[in-house]
Amino acid sequence: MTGLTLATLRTQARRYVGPGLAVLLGVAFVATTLTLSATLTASVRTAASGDLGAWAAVVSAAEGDGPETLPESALERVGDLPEVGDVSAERSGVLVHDAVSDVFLVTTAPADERQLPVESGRMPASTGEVAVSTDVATSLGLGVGDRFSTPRGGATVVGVVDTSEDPRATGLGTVVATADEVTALTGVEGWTELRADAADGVPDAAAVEAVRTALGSEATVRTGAEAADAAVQQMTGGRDVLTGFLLAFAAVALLVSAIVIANTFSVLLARRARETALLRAVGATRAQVLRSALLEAVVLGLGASLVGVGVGALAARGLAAASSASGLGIPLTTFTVPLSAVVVPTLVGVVVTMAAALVPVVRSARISPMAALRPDAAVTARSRAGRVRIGLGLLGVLGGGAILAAGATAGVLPLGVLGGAVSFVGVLLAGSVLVPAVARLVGSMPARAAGIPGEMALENTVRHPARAASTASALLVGVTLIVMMSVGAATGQRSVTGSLDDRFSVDVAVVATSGDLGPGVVRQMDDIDGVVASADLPGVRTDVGDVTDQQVVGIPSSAADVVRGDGLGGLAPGVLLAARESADAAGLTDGARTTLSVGGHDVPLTVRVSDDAPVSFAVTTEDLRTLAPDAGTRTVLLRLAPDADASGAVAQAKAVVAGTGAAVSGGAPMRAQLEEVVDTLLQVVTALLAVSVVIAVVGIGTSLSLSVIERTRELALVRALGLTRRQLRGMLAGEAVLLAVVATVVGSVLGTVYGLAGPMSLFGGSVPVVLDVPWDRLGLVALAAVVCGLAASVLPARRASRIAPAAALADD
Amino acid sequence: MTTTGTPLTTTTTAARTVGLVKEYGSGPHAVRALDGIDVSFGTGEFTAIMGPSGSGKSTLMHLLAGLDTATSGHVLLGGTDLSRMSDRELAVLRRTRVGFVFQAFNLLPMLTARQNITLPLKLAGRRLDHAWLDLVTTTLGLDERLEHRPSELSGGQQQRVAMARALMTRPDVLFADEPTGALDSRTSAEMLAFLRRSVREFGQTVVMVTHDPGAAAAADRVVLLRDGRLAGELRDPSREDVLEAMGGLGATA
Ligand SMILES: Nc1ncnc2c1ncn2[C@@H]1O[C@H](COP(=O)(O)OP(=O)(O)O)[C@@H](O)[C@H]1O
Ligand SMILES: [Mg+2]
Repeated sequence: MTGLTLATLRTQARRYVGPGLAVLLGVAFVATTLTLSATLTASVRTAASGDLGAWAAVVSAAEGDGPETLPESALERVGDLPEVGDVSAERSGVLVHDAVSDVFLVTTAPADERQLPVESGRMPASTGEVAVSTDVATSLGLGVGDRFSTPRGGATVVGVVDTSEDPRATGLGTVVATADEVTALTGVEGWTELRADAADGVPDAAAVEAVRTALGSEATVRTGAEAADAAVQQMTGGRDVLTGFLLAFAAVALLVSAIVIANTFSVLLARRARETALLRAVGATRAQVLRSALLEAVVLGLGASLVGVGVGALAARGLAAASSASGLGIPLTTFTVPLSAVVVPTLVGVVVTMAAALVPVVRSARISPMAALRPDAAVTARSRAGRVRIGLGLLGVLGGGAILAAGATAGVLPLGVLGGAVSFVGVLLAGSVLVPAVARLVGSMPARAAGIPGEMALENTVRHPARAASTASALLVGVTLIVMMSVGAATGQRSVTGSLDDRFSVDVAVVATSGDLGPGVVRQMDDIDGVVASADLPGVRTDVGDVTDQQVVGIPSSAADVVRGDGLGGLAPGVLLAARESADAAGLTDGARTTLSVGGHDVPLTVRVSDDAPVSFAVTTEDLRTLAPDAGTRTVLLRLAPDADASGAVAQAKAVVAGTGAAVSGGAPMRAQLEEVVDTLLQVVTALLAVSVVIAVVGIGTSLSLSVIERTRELALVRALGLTRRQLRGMLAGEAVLLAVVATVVGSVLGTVYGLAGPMSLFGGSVPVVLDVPWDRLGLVALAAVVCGLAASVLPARRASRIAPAAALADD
Repeated sequence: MTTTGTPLTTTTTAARTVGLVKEYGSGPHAVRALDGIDVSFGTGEFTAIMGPSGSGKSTLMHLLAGLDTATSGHVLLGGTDLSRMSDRELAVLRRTRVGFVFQAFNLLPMLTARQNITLPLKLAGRRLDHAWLDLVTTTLGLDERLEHRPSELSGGQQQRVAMARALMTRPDVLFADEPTGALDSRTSAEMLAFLRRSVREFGQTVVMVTHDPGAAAAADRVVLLRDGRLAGELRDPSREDVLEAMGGLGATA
């Protein structure tokens, strides 16, 4: 029987190209993910630990309730040990820069200065000097010689450094300063970390031991290798999430592959039913037939998987190179293909192929030997199993729909997910009823318009409901997920931005960090698209409570049109309105009395702490004029129209103040940032789902090819009766496009329902959900589906048009 | 363009071949299925083509019907030379000017009898002549069976549906390649009777390939083929004449 299997595979090799390609793509996806993940881990080790592993001992403060840093004296105590050679000390802390609501890492320079190349200027050498990373320089508009000012004081920028090689800097803007300046800017005292080398001739272990003894319980002492491991561990937490995220999409791709394989096997085995019956008639046992067909699946799965692993590794290599070249994230320089990235995808591919082939294989083994003798009557009567399936499917649709509705209205996410999954499986199971029905619904009109080839395409599609259903299902999975993500993202975004607008009292606040905003800037702000009202706020810098050099602005009466809600509530002559965080930092409480003074003018004020205040410190314009008669505009507040393009407005505002150091904040930048994150995520997800769509298109092509082989005589007959080649190709294109459109229509409806139910279940009434259907994206999906359908029909149509009309007369 | 309805006694030619040669394959393995055939078929005439297996009968029929193209020589249908036509033109010709009935597999399984019968008209985008459809289907005894699918029809009924379809476009020539080959003797006799009626009553030109001397005897004329060449012909033959001629072919083959 093995010989028979191999002979079958050889003679019918072309028929296995489609399912083989489906397995290959799914497996390649898994292999790419695993390879990239391994490469990322290896690269992260280099990036995360830097030179950490090279030190003998790495010392940090003992964990627990004690101080978070080592005492100042620790450096000397370690340095004086005879077992210890070089010692490097690091002091670092976090600084919240409220003007740009950003968090910076303030740190001493590393021992190995190559980790922090200086782009311009120099490293800070004394108190009052800092070097900033390129991203800080850009976001604050700073250059060498400018003043870096913070709520805790400021320093002069003496250099700009490149932090891309520094493992500590990931994600945070970095400010490099001397140890004393770090303390001045962040309040951190003592040492964050000490790194020590063993003295000449002293083994590392002895040095570690000596440091441990010297510092006792106040410190945690690790070897360099341990510290490097810990650093990698800390950084790869996110990597595992990423791998899981990617593998989820690989699983979707494999599911679609499985549908394609199951479909192909049932068609191929159905076609061979008479041969199988003949085999049984001449004495093959059921087990032999079963084994032979399963072996076919294994050989196919194994072959395709091995090629898939190769393709996956190549793809990973290409992606790693592209990502390193783009300069985003960690450079993936350490390309690694672990054994697991070969073995796991191969096993997965073989198992998925076998599992998918199992049902059709078992069905074919059940064929009675008598079938060989019966004339080839159409065996189209629906089996009991088929009816059970449809019944279960309808039950799933109704039950799942009910659960989904309950989850959405009650705002219970797990319930929503369960309902969605159950109803989707239901739709897949009931496909053999649903797909032909939808095909008739959407197909009749265009089919009639397209004339005979169109009508025949519709008839051919509807004639094999099960096959049409499984072919369309493969595409349905991808389309539903893409539409769900698109609608879900748009709906979620719209709902959240609605509530963002309520939460932020101003849409855009442009705040100068040094000097005034020139009159030019103020005028240009008014011209930004979507701005319906604006207010210019004069301001001065002065000490407020415990903090020095704060911006205090005067609020004109025109601000009432700009600030929403209760943002300016409580502001009156003689009142200092303080945002909660700023008040806390200044040590001021609600109702406290304080006096502001600028250049000899004193104004006594009562503090009013507010949660909604759009600026840190505000007084009325009159009080500000008393304080500083010549104050220039320091802040501009803008109100946008409700339907304004927030991202666009923020970008324009940023462009106007570019290079002046002014910061743009408020609800609109938040909204713009949210939009950007959501859009990026959506693009990534769509790209990942595109793999499963490609597999589905291969499935449509395969299904069509097989049906062309099956229908050779039929096609020859219609050619003999006068169908032209073009009409024949049109008919096959029609069949493919019809299936693609059916999948798109059903997928769009399902995806829209899920995309609405998702945010509803997620937010659970805390945010009113507003449905937003991104029609342009949906249109794009539909267009892509039609194009994919056409593409899928090209090869089968070419094969079909080669059939000679005279073939209809051939005996068999 | 239409020649149907012309008197039976016409001497005009419905189809003609000139030096027709058809080779399958090329080089030393080439098979010369037709080796210079010159033959004409008169309008309103019922011709049977006979010859041993492999003598080129089917090949001749394919070329006459525009299903395949000649290696050299010409096929003339009415005034048109098929050898100069493109694939598309041939397709159009097949759906408008010729009709066929094959030995088996004549019908599309997913279409009803009526849909099968009207298919060439639909392909050609022509209006259905309901009176003609009624006349043909009644004559062929199909009027009760029009809404059935092929799987619900007997072999004889299926062949009659095929014939009705072939007659629907009032073709210049109706070709039939062993139309009774898959039928039992009673059904086959019925089928031949219908073919004859279509010649008599509708003035249809019919060219039929057959192995059955009884069937050939129903024709006005029998053309004999051997090894891709003409090997004689008979006019208004009896069954015995045909048997004798066939015997002669076999003896010299
Ligand atoms: N498609 C083909 N390819 C190669 N040879 C063919 C083909 N069709 C027919 N032949 C050969 O041409 C010759 C005539 O065949 P055919 O016309 O079918 O004969 P008949 O119908 O008289 O039995 C035979 O030798 C046959 O083998
Ligand atoms: Mg023949």
